[in-house]
Amino acid sequence: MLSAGLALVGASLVVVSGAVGSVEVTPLQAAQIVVGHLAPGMPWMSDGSLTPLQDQAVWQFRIPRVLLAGLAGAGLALAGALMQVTVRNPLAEPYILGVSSGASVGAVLVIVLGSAAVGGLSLNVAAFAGALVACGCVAALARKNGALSPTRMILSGVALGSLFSVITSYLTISTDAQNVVSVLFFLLGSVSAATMPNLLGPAIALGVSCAVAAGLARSLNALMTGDESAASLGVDATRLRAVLLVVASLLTGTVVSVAGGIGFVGLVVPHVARICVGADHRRTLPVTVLGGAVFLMAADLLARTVAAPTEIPLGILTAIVGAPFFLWLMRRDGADRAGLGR
Amino acid sequence: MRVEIDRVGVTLGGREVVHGASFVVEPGELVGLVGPNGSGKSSLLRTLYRAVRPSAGAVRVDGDDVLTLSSREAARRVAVMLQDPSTEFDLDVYETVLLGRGPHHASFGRDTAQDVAIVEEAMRSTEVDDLADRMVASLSGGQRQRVMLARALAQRSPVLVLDEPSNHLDISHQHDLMSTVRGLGRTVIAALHDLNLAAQYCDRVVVLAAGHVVADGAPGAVLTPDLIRATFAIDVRVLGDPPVLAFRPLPTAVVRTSAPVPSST
Repeated sequence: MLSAGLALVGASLVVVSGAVGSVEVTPLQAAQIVVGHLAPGMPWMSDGSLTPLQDQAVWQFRIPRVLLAGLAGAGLALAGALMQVTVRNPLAEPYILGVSSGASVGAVLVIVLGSAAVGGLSLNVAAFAGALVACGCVAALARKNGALSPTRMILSGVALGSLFSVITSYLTISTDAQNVVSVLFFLLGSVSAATMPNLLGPAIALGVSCAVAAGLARSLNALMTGDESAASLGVDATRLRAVLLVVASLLTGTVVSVAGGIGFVGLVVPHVARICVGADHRRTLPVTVLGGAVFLMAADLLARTVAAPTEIPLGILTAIVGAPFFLWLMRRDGADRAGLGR
Repeated sequence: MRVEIDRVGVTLGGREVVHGASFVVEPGELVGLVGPNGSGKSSLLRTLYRAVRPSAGAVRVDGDDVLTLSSREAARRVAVMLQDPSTEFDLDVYETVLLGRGPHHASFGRDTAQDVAIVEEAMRSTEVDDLADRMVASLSGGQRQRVMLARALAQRSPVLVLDEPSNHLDISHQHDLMSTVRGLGRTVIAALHDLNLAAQYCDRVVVLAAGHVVADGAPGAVLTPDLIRATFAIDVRVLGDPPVLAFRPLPTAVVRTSAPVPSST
């Protein structure tokens, strides 16, 4: 029920986002343009009722943007939910293993020193490489006697994260003023540079991760009750944790490399989902994925409209809108379902 | 299913806590594992459900070394009632008991009508059916213990391992639990602190002291004043058969001078 509702809201947000902006387009026209590009031969595409400018604004700028917001929101929320059960800690989020700080170093290197300094990698690729390096280091440091200990994972992620952050900070203060804005935009996250081709990476990563997570939902429930209890239920916690680490890191790395370090979604959306439908992953994960998508699409719509023509970085919007909502939800009685009563 | 503990050693943090322990549990037998704190009972039990790898020897269930089985197959053969499950994100009682069905499903499996029937029956037999919607974290220690038993029962495995099952339970629920377990007809190994419960319900008692099996036999033959004095450092009078034990603490000084050293086998 809730999932169907969220999917409907998501679809309407795509159309509304297509209709909002400086070039005037009605919601109907926006819907026509979307359908026209997906299904060839629609009459309105060639009868002159839509201008080329409208078509371009909707199909080349607004739609890729809202889709990237949706993919990033869904991906970060799913990665957050997986990380929370992997390290069995409600404070975990996609960036807890240093993935975003690693990505930031890669991106900022390109912005500050230029692409040539990092072997000609583009900003997106350099950010993705940074994310993988960070996650590989954390996994190597957290491994002892063949087991990934959750506490060591968190602590090495936090320690490495600080190390990467100061590298980013140093690069930022030592560069020209004009670069600082680009750096900040990346660090706070934005989907404004979205194009259809760079949706591909996040879309594939999200699809694969959803399939893996759906297959593991029962095992995730078992892992939630502790390693020893998981073992008695036929779940090898060490192996499962390694799989989850890889899935969540690839997903986060792909999203961050395209959309920057959008905060808050990955931490809060899984908790909201748990408050709404309980902690069983077979119910929580669909709501988490769809809720993350809807939340970020709505946040991006606000980010580009409330102060138009100036754009507010997405990361600022997610926290301003999301934090009060989450705190209100957390104080309600139903929140105890999500283990927030302790 | 027959369970065979064959010269099992367990090393934790570089220290050997179980030394070459051997005993056998025949199909349908209820065996009590007793011994003082730190004698290695829980460590030995952990090798049965693969939470710990033995540093020596092997644990065989129905003839197969448990380490050679898949995780899922091992959990289909051996279910465990753990002492206290912890969880950062709460499941309710029904969802917790339903976890016991996990080993029987392929990863994409949905709950079948049979799963629901098994879960409901397990909850009824442990008297937690009226708690189904309650969060596990909001329950008392004794209620939680019964939920954990229901989860283990829902696993429908031929072998059941109980680690201090009577912890937190009031005296009537202690006896309910032991007679429920007794009536299952499954192969059961239970680590027990209460020697009277062990004497009353177990077919056989295995005594562990400092990581060694020091006695193995019928309760009446094993739980003698001499053995209990040597192992637990407490004086005891045995009344009747099956034995009922009445305890009187020994002054520490007496223990030091007169307690015989447990024989290491």
